[in-house]
Amino acid sequence: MYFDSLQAALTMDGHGIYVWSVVVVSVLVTAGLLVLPARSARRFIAGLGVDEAPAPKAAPSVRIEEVNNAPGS
Amino acid sequence: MWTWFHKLGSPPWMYRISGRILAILLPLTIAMLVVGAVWGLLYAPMDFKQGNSFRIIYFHVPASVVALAGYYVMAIAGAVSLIWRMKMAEVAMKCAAPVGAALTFLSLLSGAIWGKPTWGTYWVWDARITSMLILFFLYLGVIALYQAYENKEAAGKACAVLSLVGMVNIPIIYKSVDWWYSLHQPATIKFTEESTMHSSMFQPLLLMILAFYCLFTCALLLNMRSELLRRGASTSWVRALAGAR
Repeated sequence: MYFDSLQAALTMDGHGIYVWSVVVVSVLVTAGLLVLPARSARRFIAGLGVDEAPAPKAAPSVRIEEVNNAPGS
Repeated sequence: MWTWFHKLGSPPWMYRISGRILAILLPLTIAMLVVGAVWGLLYAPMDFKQGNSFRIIYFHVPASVVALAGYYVMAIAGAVSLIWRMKMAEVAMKCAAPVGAALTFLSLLSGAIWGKPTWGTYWVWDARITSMLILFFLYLGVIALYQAYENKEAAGKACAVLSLVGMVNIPIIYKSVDWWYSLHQPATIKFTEESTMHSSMFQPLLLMILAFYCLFTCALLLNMRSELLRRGASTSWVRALAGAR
């Protein structure tokens, strides 16, 4: 390694703030470029999957007469 | 012989093949970025004039080079979509714009941060920097123009024309440091001459440039896959894909 210590690598003789801030911005931009479209595609497919899912079965309808004629009513 | 070219026009084929490419290229890109960044930041020697601030070059130059190359990709895709009415080219043009804009933004921001310790200021209205800012606005213009149209076919045509017209800015960016007096240093990498950098500094830079080219390709393919899914939402191959998950 070019630097003697981690401290020297971080400070870079006073230029560390400039260099490391560029590193942070680069990591954020790179992550954004790769993660955002992949997540968008995954969410879109997941959304389609929900749309495609069969509707829940309706509860069996019971006619009022059947309830009234039930034994004990 | 031309079957591969015709296959490029097929969304399911493109979706499938891009998935296979990404499975190999994405881990390779991340590995190259990590190795190149660590090599340049921690192992390359310091520049005797600029000190350690020169290490910003390992992000600034690759982002700038690929932002310019990305514009060529966008404009060529726009030309193909105009001439041969190839929908896949229109998808590529539309998807290249945000990737190029992000890299131009990184180039401008890293250049501004580098300018402070080197020139004593974050920004000067210098020919190179101003022409790069115009490139950023061209990318944003393509994105905004596509969003502005209800009719996406007309949007594609308008964006293709704008990208082709904007090509005039690319040679201006390249030659700006030669044509005008500029604070910006001349090109580090030249095709006709040997590089002005020592090999111990130059090798990590070459690796980072290659990594950024791969990053552009990965981001473009990921954006295209997302766009293909949206455009084909009602088609059987997308429905089958959703059903399989």
